[in-house]
Formats: sequence, structure tokens, C-alpha cells
Amino acid sequence: DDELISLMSKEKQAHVGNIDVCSEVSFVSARKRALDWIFKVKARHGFNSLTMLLAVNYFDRFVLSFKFQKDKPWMGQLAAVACLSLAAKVEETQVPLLLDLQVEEAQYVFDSKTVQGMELLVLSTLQWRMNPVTPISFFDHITRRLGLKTNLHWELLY
Amino acid sequence: MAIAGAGQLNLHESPCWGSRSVDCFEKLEQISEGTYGQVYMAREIKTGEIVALKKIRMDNERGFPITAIREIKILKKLHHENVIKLKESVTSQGAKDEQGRPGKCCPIPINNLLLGATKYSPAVDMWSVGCIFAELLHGKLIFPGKDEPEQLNKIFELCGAPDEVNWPGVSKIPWYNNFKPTRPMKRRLREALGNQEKAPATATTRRKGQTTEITAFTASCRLPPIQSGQAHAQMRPGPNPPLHGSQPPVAAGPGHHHGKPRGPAGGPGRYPANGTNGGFNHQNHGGGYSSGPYPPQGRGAPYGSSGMPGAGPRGSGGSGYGVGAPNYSQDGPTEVLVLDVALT
Repeated sequence: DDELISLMSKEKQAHVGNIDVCSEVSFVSARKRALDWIFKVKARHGFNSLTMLLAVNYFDRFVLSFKFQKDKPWMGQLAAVACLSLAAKVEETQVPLLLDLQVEEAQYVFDSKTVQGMELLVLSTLQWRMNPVTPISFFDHITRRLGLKTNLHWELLY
Repeated sequence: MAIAGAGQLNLHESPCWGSRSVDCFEKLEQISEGTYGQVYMAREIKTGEIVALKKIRMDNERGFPITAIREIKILKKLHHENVIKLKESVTSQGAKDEQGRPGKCCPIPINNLLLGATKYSPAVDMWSVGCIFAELLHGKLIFPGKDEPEQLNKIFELCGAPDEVNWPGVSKIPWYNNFKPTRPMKRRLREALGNQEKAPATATTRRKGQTTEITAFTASCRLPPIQSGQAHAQMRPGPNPPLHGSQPPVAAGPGHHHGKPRGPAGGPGRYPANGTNGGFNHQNHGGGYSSGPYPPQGRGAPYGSSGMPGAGPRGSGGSGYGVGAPNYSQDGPTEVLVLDVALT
């Protein structure tokens, strides 16, 4: 169970200074828009669940540690694009071009250079920690505990 | 629809710009150059510590390079004295390019795309893994070419020359005709590496594992133009990935036809031996890590659980992996960094 303990302590570390995501009204609506878009694009490109979890994780961490420029309504969307793009690069085999990523009635479309700038801002703001503990991190442990072995079991889980 | 320009971002005014600037380092000399960018020996001004500074080139269409993201991800998971440790990522002014900063030993770019191909793919990773195994086994670089032609030649000498029979589509790769060997060359991989008497330190300590390593090497070099799903399964171990100091499992059934010579780069000529810090020295097997054990910093539990075979749609079903007719641009040989694992 060392693995479990290590996972939990890593998770706890990440949550130090935890701020309530829902504390500000402007965040709530921006976050909802961003996440809705991320979910749609996830389905469209067939990204896996971890990619989506990572993108949301990056987004939340980013907007909470970065002074959101409220006078710029496109900021949330740009952050969502950058976070999803980074998550896909971390996790997916095939990653679409930045322009191809911006589908599903994106409210704004950003040129590649802008997204790249935002990617860098996200990376540095998150201090390059791109592999946080996610719910999926615990799956290995759970499946071993439950003795799930066959592919069918795995499919159920995912 | 609205287009927002890069100028509106004001990245530099951000109070939360979390990375240090590359100005914290003084470049001493260039160690190597690849298509990914350049690697410098540098000194941290504040501490005087000698590090390797890798400058990453940006790709405007795809944003921050996926190869760099993967490299950072992998390096953060690997904790082994023979694998370079990623210390920090810093940014340069203007945020145009971004620099990873590994430290304390010399990186060996295992593999760059050759022959003018530009498509990075799982097949290229397979080749890289094979090269790493071979080098572990061999105790030194297996394709120490100074430049691309020399390197290709070394690959052909060992793996046999590629032709339309063993590699359908190879003649359509941009530079194939410039580099194809003039005489037929037979594959003599097994003869060359199969009976290693003089094993390197890593293998000697685990002699029992040798057979496995040989098999793994041969297998990985024989991977067919696989579908991405399969490739993924290969590269992502299931539960409990044995990342700490052990070999990644590369399993492939027999009977695949052999893979693609995507040559590795690097070689003694590209990395001048430099003994000043005990780190930049190829010959120094096992002696280059005088700085003590690696702290377990940044170490997290593995979470590579998402890569189960068949766990959802992935990839495009093995269309072009640089195998048959890869998607290469017409602008010439843009090489792509594949893996940058350091072995001493």
C-alpha cells in the first residue's frame, strides 16, 4: 500500500492552498463555458478520459493561480484551448494541430502563436507539473484490489 | 468568431510567470545540435553548478512541441543513475523559446528522423527503445555516426539496407535515393549483438537478464508498421509500470517483418569529451556520477493506468506512421527529436 500512501500524499501536497473553485461568480461562468467546450472537443477528437481530466486540472490550477484578466472575455477560452492542447500532448498518441483543436463552436478562434504563448504561460504557472494525481491514478490500485484481470473488466472501468 | 492577437496577452506583465529566466545561466559551450534545438554546457551563475541546457525550438503550428512535453514527462518519471535528471525548465526572454535544463551528465540523442522524413510516430519510438537496449548491451553507441550519411551507413551495416521488400514505401522517402547504399548489405544484428561477451556495467550486474534484453532489442527492431493502439499498448505498461531502474517491457511476437531504420543521432564526435565536471565524458562508464545519489525529489507514484489496450478510440488507425508513405513536408528535412535519454 506504499503506492496508495504516496499517491495520497502527492495529492495532498497539490491541494495545499486549496481555493474554492466556485468562490467567484465570474470564474464559475467562465469555467463552465471552458469545461463544456473541453468535453465537446474531447468527444469530437476521441481523446481519452485522462486527457480530459488533465485539461480540467490544468485549467483550474491555472485560473486560480493566475490573475484572470476579467476585461478580456476571450481569456477563459484561450486558457481552455491551451490546457486541452497541453493535456493532449501529455496523453494522446495523435494530437491535432492547434487550429484543428478549436472546433465545436468555439466562441473565439486563436492563431497558433497566441495559443503557444498561452501554453507557455500555463506551463510556467503550473511550474511544469503536468502529471497531477487524478482519480484515474487510483485505478491501478483499485483494480488490483478487486482482482480485475480481463479486458472486459477494464472496459467496464473506463 | 473573433481572432485575438498574440500582442494582447501581455505575458510578460504576468506576476505569476513561474519559471526562471535562462539568464540565470551562463552558456559555456555548445555540446550538440539537433533539430530539436541545441544543447549547451552552462553554469548557473548563482551556484556555479554545471548543467546541460537544452534549448527547445518552437513549432508555430503545433505550439509547444509535443516531443518536449513527452521528454519532460518521461524524465520526471525516471529515477535512475544512468538516466539524466531534469532539474528545471526555464524560459528565455520573449518567451519565444523555452529551455529545459537537465543536469549532470551528457545526453545522447538516441534517435532523430533521418532520410528527410518528418513524421514523428510510435514506430520511431520503437526504434529508439531498440537502440537504447542495444547500447545498454553493447556498452557504447551502436551507430556512432558523425553526420547523417555516416550514421545511416552504420545503421545499414548493422541492420541491413532498407529496400522495398523489407520496408515497403522506403523509396518514396525524400532522401532515400541520395543515401541508399550502392552495394547490398545484409542484416547482421544478431551476429553483432547476440553474443556479447563484454557486457557493460549495467548488464554485468544482471547477467541473468541478458537474454531478455537481447530478445527485447531484436523484437523492438522488428516491430511492424503497427496500429497506434498496439503501439500504445507497447509503450504504456499496464498496471504497475516498472519504471524505476528496470527495463520497459517491449514485447512483440515473432514473425513481424523488421522495422524502419530511423537512425539515431549522436556519437563521440558530436560530444567532445570533457572531464571538467566528471559529467560530460562518454568513456567514463559508471564514473560520471560522483555527486552522490539522486534525491527523490519530484518523485510521484506512477499513474500510467489509462493506457489499457482497447480503452477507447485512439489514433487514426495506423495510416501513416512514416512507414509506407509518411507525411513529410516538401520543405526539406525538418528533423524531430524523438527521445533524449542519457546513458553513460
